[in-house]
Formats: sequence, C-alpha cells, structure tokens
Amino acid sequence: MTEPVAVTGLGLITPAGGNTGATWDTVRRGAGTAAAHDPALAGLPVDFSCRVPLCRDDLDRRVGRTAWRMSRNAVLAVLAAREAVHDAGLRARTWDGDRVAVVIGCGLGADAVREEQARRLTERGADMVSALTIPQIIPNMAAGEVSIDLGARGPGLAPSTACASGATAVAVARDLLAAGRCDIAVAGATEAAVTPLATTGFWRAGALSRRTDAVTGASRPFAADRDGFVMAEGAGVLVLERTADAATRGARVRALLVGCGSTSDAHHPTAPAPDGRGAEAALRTALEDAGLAPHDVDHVNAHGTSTLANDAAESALIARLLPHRPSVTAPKGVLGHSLGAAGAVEAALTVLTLQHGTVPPIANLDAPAPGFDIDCVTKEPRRQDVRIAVSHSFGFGGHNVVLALARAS
Amino acid sequence: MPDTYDTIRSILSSAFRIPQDEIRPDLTLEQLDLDSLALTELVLIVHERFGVKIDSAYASRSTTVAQVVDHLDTLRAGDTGAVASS
Repeated sequence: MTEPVAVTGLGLITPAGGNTGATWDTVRRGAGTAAAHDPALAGLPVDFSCRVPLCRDDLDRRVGRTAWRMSRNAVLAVLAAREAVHDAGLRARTWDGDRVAVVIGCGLGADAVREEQARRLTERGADMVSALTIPQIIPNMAAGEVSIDLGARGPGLAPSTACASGATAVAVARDLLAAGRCDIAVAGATEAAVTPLATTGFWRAGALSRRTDAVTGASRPFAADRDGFVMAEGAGVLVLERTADAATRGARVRALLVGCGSTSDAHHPTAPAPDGRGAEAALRTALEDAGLAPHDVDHVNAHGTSTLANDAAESALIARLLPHRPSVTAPKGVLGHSLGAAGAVEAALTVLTLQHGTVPPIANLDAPAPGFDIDCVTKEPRRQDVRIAVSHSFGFGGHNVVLALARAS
Repeated sequence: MPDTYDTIRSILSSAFRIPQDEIRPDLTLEQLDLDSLALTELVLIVHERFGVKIDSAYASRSTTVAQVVDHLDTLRAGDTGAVASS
C-alpha cells in the first residue's frame, strides 16, 4: 500500500472547452463535440474530429511570446499546466522550482510538424526544412516547455504508453512524490495529432468510426452499434502533492490519488488480450496499492473508446471484477479520443466526479450493448455519492494503467 | 523598396509573436529576443517570402532590423551587398 497523494490542481483544454470549468460543463451535459469536415483532414475517408475550440492565434496569445517556437501539443500542455498550477493556489514565481517535477506524456507528439516538414523536404529541399523540426517533434518537448514556463527544475519525464500515456504520467508523478524526489508534481499529457497521416493510420488499423454522415453521434462507447473512435486533441494536467504538504500550506484538496496499477498484456501490438488479464491485473494492482477491495469501487471512468474490441473487453472486465455494478461513464463519447492525453483528461474528470458527486452521462448511448452487464450512466448526469472511483486507460502495445481516486473528505 | 520593412515587421510579428509596436528599425535581433533557432527560422521565412537567402553574416543577433532590410533590398536588386559591419 502506498500513501495517498493530494490532487490540488486541475488544468484542462479539450474539445469541450478551453479550461476545466468549460470542459466539465460540457462533459456533464453529455454533449458531443465531434464536427464534420475538419480542414486538416480534407479528402480523407474519415474527415471529422473533435477539436479544441480555439484557433492557433488565440492559443498563442494566451501563451505569449514563447508560443512561436511551440508545436500545438506543447501549447496545449503549457496552457493546461498553467491552469492547474493556478488552480492549486501555487505560484511558479515563488515556489522552490528545484522541488517541482514535470511529467507530461504524449502518445504521438507533434505529428503535424513531422508531416509538414517531411513534405517540405520532399517537395522543396533541405533548405526549406524548419530548424524547429527536431525541437518540436521530440516527444519530451511538451514536458520541456512546461518546465521552462513554470521554472520547474526537478525531475522531468515524458512517458509514452500510447493511449495510456496520461495515466502513466500521473502514476509516475505519484511515485516521484512517494520516493521524495520532489514536493510538487505537475503531471498529465497532451496530444494534437489530428493530422492526415495519423488519422489515416488509425483508419487503416480499423480503429476509427466511419460515421461521416452522423458525426456528432459517431463516438458511442459501449453501444451495440459503435464502430470506432473519433480523433481528438487536448491536454490534461493535475498538480499532485503529498497530503501532509498540502495540509501544511492549507491547500484545497480536490481528491486523493490513492492507488496506481500498471501492467502489460504481453499479447499483441493493438488488440487487447481477449481474456482481459492485463487490464484486470492493472485494476487489481491499483486497488491493492490503495488498500481497497473491488467492492469498494463506486464508480468507473472507463477507457471506453467506442471501438468493438476495447469496449467488449472492458465491459467484461468491469462485470467480472466489479459485479456490484458501480456506475460507469466514458468521456470519449463527448470528447472523442485524444490519444495520449486521454488518460490525464479522464483522471481530471474523475476528480471532478468525486468532488461534485456527479457522474456525467455517456454521450450517444441509450443503453449498453446486449451482453454488457454494466451500469452505464446515460442521457442525464447522475447524482451519486462517489467515495472511490477508478479511471481506466489502455494503450496500443498492451499497456494497462488504472488510477484509483478517493473523495477528499 | 519601402515595402521590405513592412514585410519584415509583419514576419517578426506573425512568426515570432513580437507585438508590432515593439519593432523598430534600430533594434537588434537580440533586442527583439530572437535566439539562434529564431534566426535560422527567419532566414527560411525570408527565403520563402522574398526568394532570396539572407547572408549568414546578417543572420546575427547583433544585426539591426534596418540592416536586414537594407541587405534584403540589396539582394533583391541583384547586388550581393557588403557584409554588415556590426
């Protein structure tokens, strides 16, 4: 069992809004954010997506001068991190930056930059490739820009476990705190990979919804007629501190991170293990880490991608290990799938569920598919006194990460 | 070529997020906070916009905006120009 850590700050920038409050309002209403005809995807078989509702100029104005050198995923990370630090009541100008860790993961990184610069190299020659290419596409640069922006000089890491990256970042940050490597951890993930190549790659892998004629209903986790996920972007950041430190400075504690479980399927590059053993082990490990039993879980924030394979395996896992039917939500119905960022975004939403006693509905779902014996929250937000919640994240490569969170009081 | 200064000012503002009212001809690129990455990027953008490549001696932090403009006007007029004395 590991000591809980306090979640004292949240920062979100998602297709549902440019900050945590706006995102939560939209997610709580279960309003889908997918939009047709993404200009970046013009002419592709799947051309719809969920986008952060701010243009690049608006994002850059919020960041300031340094935005010129940043890729979109770094910009999103910096804005989410600033919000989280502010929300925690911390000031980057006055803290001891040597004791602040930054753990910001991603799944793909700055794919838009990679694709554009590869095109320039091919079509226009080496002299027309930007000097920013490498600084922008290396997967750790969002973490680097956040540390620069915040003056955070402690450990810096950029976990990449595909669509579990955000949850891995939070788990790694918790471990840094537990090991005494830092006093404050700014942890989360970012993704801005709604690009022609990445989208086409997921389409070719059979992972994307093809509902081009009904895009707002395309992401439908746990529905019988689901057909894949919707490409999305965003960033989510949490500020974590040891509970004693948070109490000493009188910080508001939004929730407690009480357990983390990380496992690998060791089965297949993209398909989840059919018996769900890796995911189950992650859930069991997180609960054991928290000193909890499966029946303690009141709520599941599911990975719920809206793909055939994930939702079948995940619903079977929940039904098998948590037969007391905790409430289940799946934010990707509203937000689409922000890939590496999703686990951090969903951890933040789980914190808000614990804090507000509100479980958001799964967008575009009337009832779970036949055979899915789980208590999906549908149509309306549900008031529920949630004491313990788990947030699931699973990624290509067979990565399984489960975070267990508890109400603060 | 009076439009050269306006174009450079526009590039500095749009590509490097420098407020237009902070850009003056007598300021060096260093005073405008352009680092080595930014200078390399400036050369590329100017190459795209004007079709000429700034001499490396001018892609320097000590070069003023006016010197860049003069150098570009010289290049665009078909003259290689002298290296900046700064």
